[in-house]
Amino acid sequence: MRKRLTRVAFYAAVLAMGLYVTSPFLWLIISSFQTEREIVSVPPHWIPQKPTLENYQALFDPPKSDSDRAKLPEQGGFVPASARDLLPSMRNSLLTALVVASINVLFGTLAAYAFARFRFRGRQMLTYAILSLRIVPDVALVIPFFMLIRTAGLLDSPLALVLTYLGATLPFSVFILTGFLQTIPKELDEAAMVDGAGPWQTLWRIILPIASPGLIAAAVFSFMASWNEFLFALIFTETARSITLPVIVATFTSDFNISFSLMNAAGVLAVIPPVVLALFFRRYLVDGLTRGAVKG
Amino acid sequence: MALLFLAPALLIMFAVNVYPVLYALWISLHRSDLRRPLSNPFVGLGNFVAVFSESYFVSSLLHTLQFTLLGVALVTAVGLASALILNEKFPLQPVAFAVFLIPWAVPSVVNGLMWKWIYDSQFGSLNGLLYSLGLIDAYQPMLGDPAKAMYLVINAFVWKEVPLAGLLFLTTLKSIPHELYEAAMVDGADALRRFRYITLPSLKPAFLLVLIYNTMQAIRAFDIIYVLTEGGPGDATGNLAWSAYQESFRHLNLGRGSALAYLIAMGTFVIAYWYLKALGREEKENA
Amino acid sequence: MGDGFKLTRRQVLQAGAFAGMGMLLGGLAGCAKPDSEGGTTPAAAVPIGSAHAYKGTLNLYGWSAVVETIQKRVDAFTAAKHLPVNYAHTAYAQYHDAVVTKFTGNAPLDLLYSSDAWVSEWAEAGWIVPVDGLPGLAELKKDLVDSAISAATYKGKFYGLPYYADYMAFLYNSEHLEKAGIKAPPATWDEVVQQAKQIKAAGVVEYPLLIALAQETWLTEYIYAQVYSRGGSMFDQENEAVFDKAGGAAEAALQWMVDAVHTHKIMNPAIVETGELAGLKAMQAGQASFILLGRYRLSSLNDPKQSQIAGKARQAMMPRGMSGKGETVSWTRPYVISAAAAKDKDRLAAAWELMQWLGGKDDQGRYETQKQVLLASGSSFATKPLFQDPQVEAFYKEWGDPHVMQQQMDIARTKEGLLPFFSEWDTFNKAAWSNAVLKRTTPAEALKTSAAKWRDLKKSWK
Repeated sequence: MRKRLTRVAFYAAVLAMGLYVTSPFLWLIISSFQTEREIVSVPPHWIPQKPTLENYQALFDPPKSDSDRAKLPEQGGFVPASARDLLPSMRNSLLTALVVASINVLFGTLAAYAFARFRFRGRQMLTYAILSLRIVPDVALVIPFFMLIRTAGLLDSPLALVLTYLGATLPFSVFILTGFLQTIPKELDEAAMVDGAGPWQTLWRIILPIASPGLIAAAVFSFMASWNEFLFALIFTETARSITLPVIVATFTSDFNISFSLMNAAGVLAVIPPVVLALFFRRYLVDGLTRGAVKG
Repeated sequence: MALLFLAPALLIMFAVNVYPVLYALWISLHRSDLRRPLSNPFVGLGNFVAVFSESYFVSSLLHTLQFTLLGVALVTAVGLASALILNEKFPLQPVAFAVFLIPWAVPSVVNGLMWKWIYDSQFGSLNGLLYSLGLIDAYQPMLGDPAKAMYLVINAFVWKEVPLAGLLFLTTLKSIPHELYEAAMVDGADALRRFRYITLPSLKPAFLLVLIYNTMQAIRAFDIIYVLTEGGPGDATGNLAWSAYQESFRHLNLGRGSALAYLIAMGTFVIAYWYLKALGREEKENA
Repeated sequence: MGDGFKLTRRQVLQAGAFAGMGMLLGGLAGCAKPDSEGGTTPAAAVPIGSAHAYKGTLNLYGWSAVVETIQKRVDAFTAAKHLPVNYAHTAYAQYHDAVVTKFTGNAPLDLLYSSDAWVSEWAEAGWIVPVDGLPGLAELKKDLVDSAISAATYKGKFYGLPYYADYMAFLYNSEHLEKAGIKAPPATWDEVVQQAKQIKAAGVVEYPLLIALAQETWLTEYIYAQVYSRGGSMFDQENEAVFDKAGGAAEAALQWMVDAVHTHKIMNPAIVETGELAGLKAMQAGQASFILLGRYRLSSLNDPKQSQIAGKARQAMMPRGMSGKGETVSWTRPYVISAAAAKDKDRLAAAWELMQWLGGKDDQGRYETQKQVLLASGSSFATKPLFQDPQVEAFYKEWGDPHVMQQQMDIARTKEGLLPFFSEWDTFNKAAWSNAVLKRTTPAEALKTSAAKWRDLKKSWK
């Protein structure tokens, strides 16, 4: 009898957890398929009575002029001007995040290898120095960064964000990759060196294949951090050349007109790549974290 | 040799970060009021002192503390609970695990937008849900109610941070050797004792990470406040990071904005250091 | 590397300030001679070069409204003057902060939008230059309504032609009034309460009154409008705070709002969270009867594609109270020229050409941009001749009553107290009013702390 109660309690907990995690997200999705008229119902329509793809259509094929915009009945003429920058911004976000992730893996692994395998003076100090680089909140760094970027002539260039994000993500990547590499037994290295391999070859041939979960974890984390970032993107970017998705999404809530349904649709689009990534690579995340961050 | 491997990463990290961090410090030590561009004297700790006596300081500090304590406590508790659940075998566990990661993948701006819509006083689904369940008989102010606003903001923060914490706890749980539990059961220990004497101590490293990471996130929380409330209603949800932003960008007083940010940095440093000491010491005791 | 940056920024700011002073002196010299009737200004005492000699690109920065319309006008400018323009924009809510960053980081900016509340702060920061004495300005100024001139003037210097100007209007839903058996819109704030109660009792809507009290820029104007319409003032000629006077218009206005929410229950307690946009949507959905909104919003309220109450939204004069006549607050968003642009006299000439094209007359002598902006969005202009334009008249007749519009505009007043620390006080003041409506303080206390804050800021500014 007691076992049964425990089981019921357990499944209730599972259900509660499931609801807690998914219901806000589901509401975002459901809202994106409602018309503007329906979405302002009191109480809300949990299942849309007149589901529509119009919001997504408006995002993928935004109206080209102010008067065209006013003719969209479903959004009540509320397609913000920034809508036409939505797709370019997704492209910018994607490219930026991919470059940042790749370089994180490349440079991060090299540095982590040095930390994990070489003994050199100032190793401890360096670790603290790297971690403390990230201690000052972004709020204070915006204007100094802006001046740096401007002097380098990189205003409104995706490169500005790439460099900034690299500065922000590398410390963490190096940290987990180091922990990860440290869990790979040194014997493997030694065996390889007995066979005549130098450090570079050891890394490339022996360590990397084993370390791939850690590498993927680092890649995914830095991709996410880059995709998510808002404050610097807001300040550094200007036009469709470099503007990223979080900035566009933020403007959807604050432009001169507002369409709740459209806002939710934009939110869904912004969420798809990171969610897909997280789901796809979840096994590696577990592995990467297990050995990288948590040294049980 | 090590230098060769370290160079690319170090070069980027330091080249990109050092100048802004130092320049921000320089700004905080000078008047740096944009409305007085011709006069920028060195003021030492003047900005820091001025900030302490500002009318918003105490409330911003209290809000930061409230946000951090409550936020970190909730993330840790819910994260741990979720990890314990996901560690068990049950049908649909793989699905539950997959779904569990979603909040972490949602960008913070979208997270803010999503919750803003849920919390909307006139059309939001939270109001709708409470109303449909008969718990309230009219829609309530949500983010506009100073009594509630902070808790709603904290909830949005917690929701997003729970998966990472849960993941860290889960991976640690999985690495606890089974033999420990089996030996304990042989000795007659019940579930509660097993939890207290085996599980919890083994989770120390995970606790450390979760606490440090989430404390840092909570102290500096900015994006969520920017999108949800901009510090309002009144100043009911303004935290130190938001005040720093306001001083710099709305009041054009970079000196004070920077000073506030450095105060946050120092607070973070002290707390991280304290955590490491406290939990590191315990490990030594248990060894 | 650090030292170099510090010097550069300072040098630029100093240079900008000197350029500004140079122009001021030049402008003063130019003004010493009286302007002849509709004639040309004397040979420029301002060091301005030739727009044609400028070989670079002009940078125009604004917020994201009517972007296609502006882009078309900019393209026409480039075609006519052979001056390329780089037009960028961002959401209004982020605009001010983005501009602060750009100026501080010396990003390229030539012509940009500003707001009356920001002119003093940007002028003090040395970021913008006055346009006094520039060729053709005097003539254009004659066509501007007075409030647009004073709103863009700081310390006696005029900073730019208007992008758009408008005022706070009192709008109502005529259908709601009909249903409640009310014959005419309210003329006083007391009548507003009475009529709202009637509407509520008739079961038409739950909360007939809507004054959006969210902590955003519009709250400033809602406050000022209510004080002005009761014949009160916020600041006097010396910019001393006068709104905390016991029994004054501000206290009456604030108390009136507190009562509306808590005593008469004609306004939703959640109103402290409602922003202007949400308020607009609620009005469009027929959920409110009386609302304060910028006059230009009337066009979207009467647009059947955007609003469910199309054809029923009307403007009435701002209700009176105490000794007031129903005055309202007006605002202007001027174009401004950056100090950086003014350093090069040819660049300055080019930027001035663009400002005239957008905020003044094009090369055919028409106020074309302002008209296009009006037709695209209902956002109105500040140039008197345009009121007689038949297209404009027809446009207004479609959704408004030109007679009431003119009447209200005649008694509209600009915002007082636009000193460089205005935004700091404004944030504090809005929070104070909000706290009073939430009943966390009394109106008298709220106004007292707000006035104290102003005096503090004023003292430390000296």
